[in-house]
Amino acid sequence: MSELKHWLDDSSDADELERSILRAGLEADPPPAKRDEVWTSLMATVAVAPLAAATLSAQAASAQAAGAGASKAAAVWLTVGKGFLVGLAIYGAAEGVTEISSRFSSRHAPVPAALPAAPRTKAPARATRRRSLVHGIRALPHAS
Amino acid sequence: MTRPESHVDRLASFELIYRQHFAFAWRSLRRLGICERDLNDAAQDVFLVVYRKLPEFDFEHPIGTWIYAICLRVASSRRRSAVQRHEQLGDAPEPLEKLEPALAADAETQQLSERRALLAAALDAMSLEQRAVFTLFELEGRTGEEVAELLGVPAPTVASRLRLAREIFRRSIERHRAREHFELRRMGGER
Repeated sequence: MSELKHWLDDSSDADELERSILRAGLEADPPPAKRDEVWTSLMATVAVAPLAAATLSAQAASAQAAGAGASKAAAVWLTVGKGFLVGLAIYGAAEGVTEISSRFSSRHAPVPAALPAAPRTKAPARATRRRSLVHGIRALPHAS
Repeated sequence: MTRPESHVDRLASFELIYRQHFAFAWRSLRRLGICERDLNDAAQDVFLVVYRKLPEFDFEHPIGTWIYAICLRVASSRRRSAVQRHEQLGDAPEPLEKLEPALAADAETQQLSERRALLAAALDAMSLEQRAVFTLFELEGRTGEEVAELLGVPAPTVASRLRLAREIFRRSIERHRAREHFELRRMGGER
């Protein structure tokens, strides 16, 4: 390893063009403003990172709490809903029974005695006439 | 430097490390093929890792080695992403005309710009491992042992990678010479 010589050494086997190309790459230092620019960005990120982590953990905690609260609320609503449905079913059943019983009782109810008798209707005039005609024919004396 | 105990200690240690190693990290990222427009983001990525891992870092080990290893991972990750997005990561360096317009007419500056482009093309032809060895040895001026320590590989591996990287570099320069020769002959023929 120690026998390796840098090409920029004059005693190395590199030629002048190769050396000049390597020398062109020596000045690769950053401009002074770059160091401060990158530092400012870094500090913004480094300062924001713990805040973001804290915010995230707080959000996670509140989401967990909200989840627990939501499950309790859901249980309450489920109970209320069940009660409502049971109540509705009981009400419906009661109404149905009442309706059926009322219909049943109205169909078989006796005619009240106090009601006046229905007036007799006259026979239709046409029918009367026909009968009289028949009677009339019978009543005619024989032509002979 | 000792292991930081509190958040304030950690920030103070981090700032010290940043001030001491920012230029090295910047140079390393640039030489590992991160283009100008991505250098800020890449440097920020490197030092964010440093900040996060600082409480776990063993201060018995050299910090430069650790930072270089992070630079290598960041460059490798960006290279993979660029390949997936079909982008060219190690594009030619910003032309000096763009950085310093007043110097554009200067022939010397023009030549420097061309040589930087040649270097960038030669480095782009290498694998990331070869590139790391070549730039640390030839441009950073590290010894073979230092490069082996920085990369965490045995010394013969460094020697082998350096030999291959030099071959690639030379081939790239030879191609450039051949192109120049051809251009000169063509121009001579036209006259």
